[in-house]
Amino acid sequence: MSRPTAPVSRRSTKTEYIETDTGNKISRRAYIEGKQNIMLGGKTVIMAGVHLRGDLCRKPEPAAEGEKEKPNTTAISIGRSTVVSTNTTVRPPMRLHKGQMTFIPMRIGDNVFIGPNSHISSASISSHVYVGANCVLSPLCIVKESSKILPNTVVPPGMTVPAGTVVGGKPAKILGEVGDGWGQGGGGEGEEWVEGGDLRALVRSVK
Amino acid sequence: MTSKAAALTTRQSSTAIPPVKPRCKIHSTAIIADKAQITGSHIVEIGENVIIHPHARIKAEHGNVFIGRGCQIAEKAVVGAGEPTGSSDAADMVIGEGVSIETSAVVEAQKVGDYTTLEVKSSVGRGAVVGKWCKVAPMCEVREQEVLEDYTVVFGDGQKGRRVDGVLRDRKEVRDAKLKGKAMEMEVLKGLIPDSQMKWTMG
Repeated sequence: MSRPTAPVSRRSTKTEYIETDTGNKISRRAYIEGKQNIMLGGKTVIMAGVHLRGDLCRKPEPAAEGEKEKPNTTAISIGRSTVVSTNTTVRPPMRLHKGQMTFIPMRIGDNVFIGPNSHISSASISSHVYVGANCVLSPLCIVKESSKILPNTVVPPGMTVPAGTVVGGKPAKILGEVGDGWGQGGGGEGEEWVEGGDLRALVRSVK
Repeated sequence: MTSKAAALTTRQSSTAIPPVKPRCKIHSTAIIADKAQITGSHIVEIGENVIIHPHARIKAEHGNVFIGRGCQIAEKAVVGAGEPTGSSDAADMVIGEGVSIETSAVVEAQKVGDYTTLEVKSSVGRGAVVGKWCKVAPMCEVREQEVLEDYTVVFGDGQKGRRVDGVLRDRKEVRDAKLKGKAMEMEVLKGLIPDSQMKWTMG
């Protein structure tokens, strides 16, 4: 006599991640404010404890008489196959623009890896960027494509990290170049993901 | 009537520990986000035009916390004295006017002077006294019992990075410009963060 087996479907239990139609995986334990102002490109992972401050956006101007209400302004836009690791804060920067203080919409590219416990307040991060753990990207810094930010780095306000460089330190200094072949591969089935490469394998492995 | 009372009591007993509500004195123009946390049993006083972001924490477990007007406390910041280490000393905390406490900063200071900025992930140790117009750079630390004079900037790796910002000290117009910027910042934030200070002042 075998006992009736327990229901096998583990789907009935709550999963850690909620998957959207476009393949974004968002942890249930992420803290997301102002979700109407956040754009995720698809296949992007938002891990537990991540704070996304979408409520800090440019204030929409009140619609004039007879005009249609403007659609929501975007505060944070994140590209495809980007991974935002645990306990990271993403907060749009603020600056004086045409005599008014406004929040600048921030843009994060595709295949960007952001390490745990970081603070991201940059104006833009291009594609294929690797940001290590415990980094602080101060307001209005710009990170160009295929660059690497070492762990425990403080990128000062307004700094531009050139394409293909390695930066580190407090405050960040350019320490070298990533070199040829950095970020090659990683996109295929069964391949390991590489820093600066295609993060699809990593995104797939997140459950 | 009796069933209603019974329902009330069961609901109360279901919560494991009844939360101790701090004695809050919050100025009506302050903005406390709904998800901000104020804990402890000591007095928490919050001045005019203070903005407390969601998920910021004010801890009044081990002493009173006074926050001056025009301060800003960002998400994940922790303000308030921690567990007392040595002899039981009063762990009251006074934060001056216009202080910005950024994301993930941990503040256990005895006093923080006016218009000081404590940047992302910085920490100010227990019993420290921070002067006016100071700046603690990201991920920098002010040790326990340390005293920072006015206009000090704490920066770099390790403990050596201390200097006095002479420009800020000697030129009033620079300070005025900074104040103007801060005022504009607060004005924008006021329109963006919904206030729910009723949660703390009622009942």
